[in-house]
Amino acid sequence: MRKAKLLGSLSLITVLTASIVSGCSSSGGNSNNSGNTPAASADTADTGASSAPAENNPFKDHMDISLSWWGIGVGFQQHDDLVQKLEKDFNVTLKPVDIGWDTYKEKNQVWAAAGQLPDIITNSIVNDNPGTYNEWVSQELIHPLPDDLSAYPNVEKVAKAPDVQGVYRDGKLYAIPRMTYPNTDMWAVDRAIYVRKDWMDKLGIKDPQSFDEFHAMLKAFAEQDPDGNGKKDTTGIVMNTLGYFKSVFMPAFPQYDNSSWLQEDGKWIPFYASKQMDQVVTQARKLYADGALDQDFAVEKAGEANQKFYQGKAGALAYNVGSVSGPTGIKAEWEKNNPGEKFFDHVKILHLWPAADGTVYRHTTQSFWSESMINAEVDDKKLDRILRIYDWLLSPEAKEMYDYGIEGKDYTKSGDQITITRPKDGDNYIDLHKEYPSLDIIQALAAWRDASALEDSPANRVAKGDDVVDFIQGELKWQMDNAKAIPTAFDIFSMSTPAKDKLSAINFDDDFIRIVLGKDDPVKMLHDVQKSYDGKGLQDAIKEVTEQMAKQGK
Amino acid sequence: MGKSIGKELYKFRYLYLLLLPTLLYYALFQYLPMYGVLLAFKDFHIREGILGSPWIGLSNFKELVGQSDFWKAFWNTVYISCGRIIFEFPVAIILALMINEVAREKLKKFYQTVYTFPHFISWVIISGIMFNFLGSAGVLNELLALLGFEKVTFLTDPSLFRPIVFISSIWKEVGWSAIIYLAAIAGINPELYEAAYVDGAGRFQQLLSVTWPSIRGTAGILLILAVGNAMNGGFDQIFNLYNPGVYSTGDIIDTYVYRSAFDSGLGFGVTTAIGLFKAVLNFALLYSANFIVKRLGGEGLV
Repeated sequence: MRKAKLLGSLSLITVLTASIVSGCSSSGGNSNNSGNTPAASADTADTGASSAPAENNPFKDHMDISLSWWGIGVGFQQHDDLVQKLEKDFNVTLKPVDIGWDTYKEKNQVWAAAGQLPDIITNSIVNDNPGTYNEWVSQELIHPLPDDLSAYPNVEKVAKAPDVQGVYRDGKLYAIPRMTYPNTDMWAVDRAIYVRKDWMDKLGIKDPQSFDEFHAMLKAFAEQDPDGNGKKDTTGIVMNTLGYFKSVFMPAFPQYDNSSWLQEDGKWIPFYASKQMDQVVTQARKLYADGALDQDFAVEKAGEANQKFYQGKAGALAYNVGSVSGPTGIKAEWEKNNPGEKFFDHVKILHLWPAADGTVYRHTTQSFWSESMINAEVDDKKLDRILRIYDWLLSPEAKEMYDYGIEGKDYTKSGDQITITRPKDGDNYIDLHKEYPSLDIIQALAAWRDASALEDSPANRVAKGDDVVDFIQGELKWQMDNAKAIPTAFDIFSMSTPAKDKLSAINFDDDFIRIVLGKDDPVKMLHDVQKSYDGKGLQDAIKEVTEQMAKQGK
Repeated sequence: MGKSIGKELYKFRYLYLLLLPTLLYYALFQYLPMYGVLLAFKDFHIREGILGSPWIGLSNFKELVGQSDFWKAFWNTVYISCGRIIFEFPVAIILALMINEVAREKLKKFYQTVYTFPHFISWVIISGIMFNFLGSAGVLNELLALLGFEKVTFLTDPSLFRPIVFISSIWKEVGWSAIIYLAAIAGINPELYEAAYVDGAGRFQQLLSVTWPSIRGTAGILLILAVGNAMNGGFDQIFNLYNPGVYSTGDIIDTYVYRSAFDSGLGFGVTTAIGLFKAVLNFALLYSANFIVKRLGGEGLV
């Protein structure tokens, strides 16, 4: 009896010990544990993107491919038909690896250090932290793409785009940049200031033609009880994130809006070193101090403040045009909070006033943001499979899937005629994004689909409604007709010099917020901040970049 | 001699076996990862790993000392930690003494539960609650506005940040910290109170002459531990409560390291150097606090 007890406790200890040890050692291999899913048969793979002969089938071997994406855990949870189609067509099992918008760069750094990067890495260091990108390249964490991309014509097109050339290192491309728009013009509608036109009418305010008028309008929103509830519970402008709010200062200093470099006194300098920032901080402080700017903007998380606009607690919202649409878009959310009211009867986009030189500026930036990287551990066969998937994701057939769903199930096609067959929910067809939670992820994996979301197509008219499509088209047209893109030194975004790479230690947004919230003279605070940047190598970076630009004759 | 040790080991073999998982735990999770501090003296190359990366002497430390933001964070940590010891530490003792004086057992339990509960809410949640309380449209500001006062920017005012940190931390942790003192109080021999009562001591005198001397040792040890923890400053709380507006008074070493390592790419080497620097300081503080407590007649830890 006693012996049995002892044996029992002994085995318990052994199990405990073993579990501790094994728990430690099993963390290493999350990427290559293939073989636990039955391989799809080779002939089903033939229905996929390319129809290779059976004996030379590039999809013969089944593979597990892990990929990271913002919120992929939820998006792939249902393992919906889209994911299944992709997995079947390419004979792979997709292993989702979740990342969050607030922490993805940190996660990638930690995974890199721990050797746990997924096969396909979603990252945004090429432009945001070129120094880190160089480090990843030099430490061989990521796979260069093959020199010859002719087997993947759609990927090749991206690799040959003019502003992707700055991403090459020693003639090799280590990332597939995620293109946003076919050209830099369409960025114009990535900034928009929504405003309550009913409030403007009520208070007798016309479209502001200068910052002072804009300021006066927002101040009136905060102080003159525009919603007529007898309480002083409204504010002027709220922002989705600080980036969108920067457009307010485009007339004062265009390059602040897109955080680019500019030439001043014969030198190339980053926007935060410019003399023109004086005016920006002065204006921003004025907005905050007078209550024209949301008093909580520094504390709120991304998107949190939008609610204030939806709930009629704010007169203006800094965001972008495209976000008006969709089931959680601005229009839908606003109408949810104001039952029975039509969004377009109450809200319009406010156009910015001309800058000192008489020009109305519009937002622009590089034609891509963020990138897919391939883990250096991936072998050539898997690399080929990944590139084939990407090539297909960028193809016209894939676009058709993003627009209409799965052929035979959601639509039928004869010639060029597409007939939508998916069920209706009330007047509209059920939303594809609701039917396939993975759609948002799959359609954006290789390239952002911002352009197709903005275009005037039958698919968009069906999905978004005529009023929304007209609204977006109208805004796009207005920007093209009336505004000029911010003069932008695109080359410098992904330029890498030793001192410039170190500038990533500067977080100007933090200092900007501190200046806006502060009590001292904003211009003096700004100048102190600018001086402190010299200690972080600002002047060296300016010197190096100016030299580089001089070499290019700029 | 050796034989007798072996004999002893064999005699108590099952006890030692029971100890083994704990030893393994410490070896695997506490001592083994310690070799990571080597990074402080190395130029970290991700692919080559910690051991394979080249040595670079003290240059990580030199880079660190040159950062003005680091010194700001260092002094903030010192101020916040001192504040915690001065403001937060005694509150738990006072609460324990007060709960102990509650005569009805059920009421005592009730208070204890109420005060302990917030300990189980995470700082993420609390920061959300605080935003609803202290934001510009929060309860407190609405109240102020109703009474005709100006609204106060509680969450972005650098001069208010530290008091908010102390108060919220007291609210969250005081009940939990008081448990140890309550346990110590429960262990006091009731005869001592009877003797004091017979000698004519009132409740307050009993508290001063019986209860406090009995828990002074516990308080001393907890004080040593608190001082030894001083360079940490409470990452969880600060990280969830701060924003760029209050970096000047609220950014502590840990939050600075976090932002530096991940956002601005200061590099793992430099940030490990900061960690090592902090650990050495903590160690020194622990020892000196221990020395002082012993000198003052307390028991001390080591």
